[in-house]
Amino acid sequence: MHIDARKLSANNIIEGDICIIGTGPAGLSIALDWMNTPYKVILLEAGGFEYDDSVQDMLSGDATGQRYFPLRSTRLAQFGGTSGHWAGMCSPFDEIDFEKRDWVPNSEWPISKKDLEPYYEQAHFPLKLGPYNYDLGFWQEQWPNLNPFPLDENVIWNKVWQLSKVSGWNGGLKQAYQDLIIKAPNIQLYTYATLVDIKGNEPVNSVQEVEINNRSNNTLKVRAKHYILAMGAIQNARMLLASNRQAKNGLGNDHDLVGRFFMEHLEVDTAEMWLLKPFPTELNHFNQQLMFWNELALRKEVLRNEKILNGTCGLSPTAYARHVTPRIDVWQNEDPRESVDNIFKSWDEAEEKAKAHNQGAIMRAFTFQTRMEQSPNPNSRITLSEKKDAFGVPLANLNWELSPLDKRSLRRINQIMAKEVGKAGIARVKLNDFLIDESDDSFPKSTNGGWHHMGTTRMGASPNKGVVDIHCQVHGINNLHVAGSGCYVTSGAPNPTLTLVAFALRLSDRIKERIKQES
Amino acid sequence: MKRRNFMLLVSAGVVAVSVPFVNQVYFDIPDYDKESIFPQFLSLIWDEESISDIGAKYAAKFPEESRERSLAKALFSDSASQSKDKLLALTQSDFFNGNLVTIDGWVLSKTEARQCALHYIMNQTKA
Ligand SMILES: Cc1cc2nc3c(=O)[nH]c(=O)nc-3n(C[C@H](O)[C@H](O)[C@H](O)COP(=O)(O)OP(=O)(O)OC[C@H]3O[C@@H](n4cnc5c(N)ncnc54)[C@H](O)[C@@H]3O)c2cc1C
Repeated sequence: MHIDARKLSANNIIEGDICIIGTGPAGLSIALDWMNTPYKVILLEAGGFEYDDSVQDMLSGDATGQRYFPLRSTRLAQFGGTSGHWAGMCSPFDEIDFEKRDWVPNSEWPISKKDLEPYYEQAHFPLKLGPYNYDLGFWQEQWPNLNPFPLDENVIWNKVWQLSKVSGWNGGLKQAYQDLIIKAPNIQLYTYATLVDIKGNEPVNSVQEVEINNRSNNTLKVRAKHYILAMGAIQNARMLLASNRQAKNGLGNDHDLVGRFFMEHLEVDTAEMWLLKPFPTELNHFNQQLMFWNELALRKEVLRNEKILNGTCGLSPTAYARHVTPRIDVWQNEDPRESVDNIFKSWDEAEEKAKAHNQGAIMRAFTFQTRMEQSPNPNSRITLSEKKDAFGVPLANLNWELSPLDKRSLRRINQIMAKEVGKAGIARVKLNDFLIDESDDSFPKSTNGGWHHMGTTRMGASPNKGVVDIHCQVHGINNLHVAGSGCYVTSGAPNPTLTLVAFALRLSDRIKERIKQES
Repeated sequence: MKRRNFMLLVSAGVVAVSVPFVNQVYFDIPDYDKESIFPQFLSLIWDEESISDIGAKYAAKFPEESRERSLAKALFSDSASQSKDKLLALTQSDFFNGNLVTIDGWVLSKTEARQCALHYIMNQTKA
């Protein structure tokens, strides 16, 4: 059932078994998982089914530190969340991403990849991905020309991505699930229902109710057995910090961890690989039919020996890539729709300019687009701003801070790739200028993030290590849970959504178990 | 003979004796095939101007290797290394051994970078 909350009068009390706040990939995956169960699900969404500037305003905020996109346009406040703009690229984290690495400060996960494995497979369903198989061999059987470069397999491997059929250009999860959710008898979807406060009992070890503003100047209350924050990593942290009437530093923040360890993926053009001779392969093209993508990755033994972060290199034809303006320069409009348009325009322009190159060695040159995790850094963080949204809730500020380990890793990944293609006798690599000086730890202003927000409500075995426990429950608050990439301890190299949906489904299972036990 | 003249003669004699020796050790340029200095792999992606340009940058970065004799010695001191094939193999093994150098961002084998430098110097001499 769908209810437009704007039509509700004040002091309405909405009751259900679970209350999910946010309808992006995290929130919707959980809602779909509870469809056709005997439980009543309250699903709250700040926006409506279409873009609305006045709702989007709550995502505004200032950014300091490493230059970033306008916060307002990095997310979408409407049904389906940011899946309305995402590109749909999915690949699971590697085993090493969950391991404690002594050269990466604060990298200790309390769970391993094995704990998440079954949920990765399940996450393929809401994201409409192909079979849960990321071995290159499997994909080569479907498509014969996926020839890998003849590189040393002890050093480099080919990491596979799948492309979701519910990407932004297909309308995202909204297009796929709007009707299904509305028709689900046990789900009550409230649009234009913005969370403005979370209220605990005394002594704040359980949530009693949450307060919702309906944009018609009415405050409504929602009461449920369990509450799931699924508003995205920045907004989840913001609302925990802003719910500070009972706990001075915000909910779940006794150890000053909420908002800290904000991580992005670095997605940067780092080098050019010039093939000495043509190498016939379709491995490194976007394969629209197969919904497949591939990048060069480093073996975990190499990462260990080198003491560097995990990262992969995608290949883009240099004749084209040289003309692409860094997305951080292009995506500067506060309106996400304008920013998307600007990105597409800039790609079209680059394609036009690339036509000028039609012969010579540049035709077999490829730009490495390195995608890399950011090391967890407590100073890279979300805080509350002095500025407030329309409902008087402080906006979020971001201080994005990168570290020398990030820079050294980015450089070493490319140097190792350069060595390996040289060893194989297939190419030479030119590092981009910003990587040449080994004593330079800085990042240029043109450094791109991937629009991926992670780490602000990190997982930890104990409250002084993390905001949420191994089940994504906020430490010390027994019915408050967080779904999303905010729970990551480290960010892995791949795009975050597949993994965050896997976490959301794991959380969903956990709450089902608990609700059964509790009744 | 006055002592001063004696000294001069002796020192001249010393010089006369030592010049061929010094030449052999310090100034002798190994005999090498001028054709072989062109870096084979790099010529697949660069034109001659780019090769010279990288060569000039290599010579500037390593001034001790900015003359024909030092470069030729580094490349051709082993008489077996004078063939093109041997240089290709050396280039390859540089990548295996990590004997690499970054010039203007290019991650190159030391051998091929030296070839570029020698090519640059020889072209300068011609000009
Ligand atoms: C241009 C772009 C391309 C991307 N490409 C990829 C990609 O290829 N692969 C990938 O893995 N990821 C990609 N991403 C990231 C991906 O979109 C996010 O990881 C994903 O959407 C996060 O899901 P979520 O459900 O946690 O949050 P969101 O999708 O942001 O959803 C949060 C929802 O919560 C609602 N909400 C927020 N605050 C409140 C409140 N106070 N009350 C009620 N509701 C609220 C919002 O309106 C929204 O609907 C991309 C992002 C962008 C911008």
